[in-house]
Amino acid sequence: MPIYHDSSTKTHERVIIDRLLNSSCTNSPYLKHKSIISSGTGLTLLCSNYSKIDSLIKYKLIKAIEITVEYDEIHFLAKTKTLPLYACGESRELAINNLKYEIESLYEDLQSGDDFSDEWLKHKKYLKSIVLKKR
Amino acid sequence: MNNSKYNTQDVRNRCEHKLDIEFRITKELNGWYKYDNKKICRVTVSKGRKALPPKTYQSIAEQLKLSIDDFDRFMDCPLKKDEYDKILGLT
Repeated sequence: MPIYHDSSTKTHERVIIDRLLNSSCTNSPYLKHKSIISSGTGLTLLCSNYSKIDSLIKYKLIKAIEITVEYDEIHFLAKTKTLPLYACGESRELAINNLKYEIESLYEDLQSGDDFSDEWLKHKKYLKSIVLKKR
Repeated sequence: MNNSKYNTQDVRNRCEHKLDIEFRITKELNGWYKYDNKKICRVTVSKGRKALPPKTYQSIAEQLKLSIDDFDRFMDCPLKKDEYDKILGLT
């Protein structure tokens, strides 16, 4: 369990930290250094909108995909930085999981032919270079 | 931004009727806008009639390569393709 400077402050922030630490979807490097969160800076970093997806559902990823996750009035909105994709979810984890489905769906769409604009052909090349089928 | 006026079903209808996008139903609805037999834009819309908060609305606009103002106009105009064709005297 993480160490907090002030254990009496079992607050919203602490709940967020616990949820982030228990989340398998986030891949923030700060999660690997749990002691950092005993400082205020750590909390700020942990609550950052930036994250990474390093695995998909049906496929493997050779390289992590950078994403942002933001709260959008009624749900969380996850977006990829390099691809024009977004997904929503009731929680941060669900939004990220739905974004994984979107990445896979796009990958499969792009495998179906070559009748794409140059922009999409670039995305196809990029995804082909980082996505592998699970054995 | 007119996001509060519309829901996901409205976006789907506009895309289908105005841009001839055919949605494939998977976890979400995904469709391609084609021009000259090339796939140009890929748009994702949630199933059902869900509200469109601002960042989600903006994300759809970005997928269609439209500014918020242009996407508002795209959504505001109730003109459908068959009506459009009629006005042009094509049908």
